[in-house]
Amino acid sequence: MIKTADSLADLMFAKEKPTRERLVVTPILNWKGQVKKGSGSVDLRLGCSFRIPKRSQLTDFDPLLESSYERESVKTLNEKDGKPRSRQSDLYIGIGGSLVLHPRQFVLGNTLEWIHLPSDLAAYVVGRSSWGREGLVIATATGVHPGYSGILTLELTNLGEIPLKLYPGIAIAQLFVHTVDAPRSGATEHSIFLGSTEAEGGNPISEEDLFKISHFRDSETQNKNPSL
Amino acid sequence: MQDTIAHRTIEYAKQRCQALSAEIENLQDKTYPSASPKTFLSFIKRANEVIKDYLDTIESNPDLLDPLTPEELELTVKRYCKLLPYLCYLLEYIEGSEVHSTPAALIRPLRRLLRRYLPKSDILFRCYPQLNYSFLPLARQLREVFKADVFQPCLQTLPDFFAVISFPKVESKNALLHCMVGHEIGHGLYQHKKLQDKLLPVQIDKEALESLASRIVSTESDGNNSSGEQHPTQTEADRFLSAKEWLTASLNKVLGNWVEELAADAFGIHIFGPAYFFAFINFVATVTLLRSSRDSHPAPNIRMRLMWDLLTPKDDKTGQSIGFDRAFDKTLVNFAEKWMQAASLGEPASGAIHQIAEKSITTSVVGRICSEVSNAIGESRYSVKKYEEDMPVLGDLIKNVIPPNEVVVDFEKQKTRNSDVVSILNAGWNVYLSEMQEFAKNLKLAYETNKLKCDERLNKVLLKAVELNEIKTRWDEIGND
Repeated sequence: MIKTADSLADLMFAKEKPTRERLVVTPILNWKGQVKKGSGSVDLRLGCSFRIPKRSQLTDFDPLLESSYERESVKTLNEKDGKPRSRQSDLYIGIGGSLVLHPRQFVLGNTLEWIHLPSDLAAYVVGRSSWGREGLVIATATGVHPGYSGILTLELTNLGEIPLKLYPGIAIAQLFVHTVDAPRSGATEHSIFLGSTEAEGGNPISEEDLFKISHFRDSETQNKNPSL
Repeated sequence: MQDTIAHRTIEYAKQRCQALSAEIENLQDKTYPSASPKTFLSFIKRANEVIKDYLDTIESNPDLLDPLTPEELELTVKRYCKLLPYLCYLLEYIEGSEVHSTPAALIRPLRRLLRRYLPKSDILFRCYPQLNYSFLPLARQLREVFKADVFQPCLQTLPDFFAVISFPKVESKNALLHCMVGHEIGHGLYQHKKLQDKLLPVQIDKEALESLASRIVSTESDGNNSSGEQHPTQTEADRFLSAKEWLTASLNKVLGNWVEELAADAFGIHIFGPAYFFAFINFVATVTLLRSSRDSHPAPNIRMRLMWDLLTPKDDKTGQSIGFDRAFDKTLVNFAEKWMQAASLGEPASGAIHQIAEKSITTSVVGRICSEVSNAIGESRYSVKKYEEDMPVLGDLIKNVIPPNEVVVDFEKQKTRNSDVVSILNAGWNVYLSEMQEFAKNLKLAYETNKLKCDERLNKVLLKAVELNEIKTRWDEIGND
């Protein structure tokens, strides 16, 4: 069941619950504006740190090359080329500054607010419709699991025709919170994003899958190579 | 020929100005965590423009140049151009002050903290490659170097008190360690409040001084003095007096440095509370020996004793603690006691002069330092009461991987209040020293095998708390205007 803004406020100030089991959205700069009475969500603001893909220095993103299984060989290759391995460059824009997002440009951003979900709540991040109408998509991976604690990374893309000027601090997204079945303490397993303090990229494939797929690929390569 | 040299000399000088101007523009495009680097950059830019205008003026005025000999011309041109290398040198401070070079989230709150004690002041925080923190007062130096009338409008852009505090770049993200800045701010306060006038000179231990002077004289008499110089007409009493005079001058210099360092430590404790003490131990334990003094700094064990005394005063009547330690849990008490025990063991400082200096820093001298610093800082110090109120709440948030930038003050009325950078860092130290197992557990990590990873996460959470706290504070301030 989706929680209304009123009950979200109650969950944030639930005195009887230990800190871990309270909903936290901090800071809320403007309570009346962000937690509107009767609405089904809390508005979230755009944070200050961004990660911009280094398009001119990369041929592609290959999740296999990002795995720990392949990391050593990647490192060797990069040392030979003398190229940095990082795929994105960091950009910090303080409140009052702005970022211009050009049509079809993709940038990682983050929410200004830190979100902490207790074990009985999950959430979805959705763009604000007024921004959506300008062509801005703020997130494609929108689920926030029970027990998560950290800022939320936003995948900002401008699908519109004209460049958009984004100011850190503006309300850009909405957090819909709902209850989950059979809550238990410590529901979330370790995630590399737990405790995130800035926009972070990650490998979309699990280490286990990467290991197995890499072995499939290696055996294919060996069969095709007549010298082996 | 003279005309060619004149014009060439001016042309070359203008090239230097042009290059400096291009570099200033380049630096103006970068992002800084506060306004101070750009204020300082604006001063450098205007000073450079003054020099360029001067060169343009003399270049376009042949009446000024023609009668000059080459030597006079050189002096005329260099009158201001000699400042160009200095302006270039000043740019170094800007280079390390960009957002990505510094612990950006901390810069504004630290400036805010400084202004609580020194209104109309500004500090440029920058990172540098040394594993050290340092303080450099610049305003007086700049006013001296740019004392010519033409530079006065440039100087007016700078605040009355302007200094540079440098952080170690490699520790840029270590929020906990940056409580060391309390000591550097302390240097600023010591100088600004002119505490040297109240605390110096320190009475030198007379017995130890005379004993060392006698030893020097007897060594000289034995012909073992390294210089081999002995004035044939000097009596032993003369030599004793001159040795004593030399020792007194050396000791006054050392004690002057030491008193400033100890006062800066006392300021550090008043500004940051126990967090400064813990940061000091964390930093000093890796870079210096506990009983090793230098001309510039007393041994860390002397400094720790002063800090611990300031942190743990006792009630005169009951003998009970009325200091921060009454709010420490067992782990923190054990930690502090072990370090204080380690600091009290072993031989005193090596080096005869340092040994006398140590003897001269008596309990009464330390008491005077603490009392003068306490008077200078007034009521705005970080109090035991605040520490006791904040630690349980903020610590609980951190343990649960939630930045402690604000705390609930009224559950019924749904009210929160902002915390502040000092409370956040103190709570961070409490968790770091006594509750990292719990923090790691909530990160779903095994602490024993992920210690450094957990430390890094803790520092990130603290920096985030400081950043969010500052944004909320500024947001509320605008609303109140």
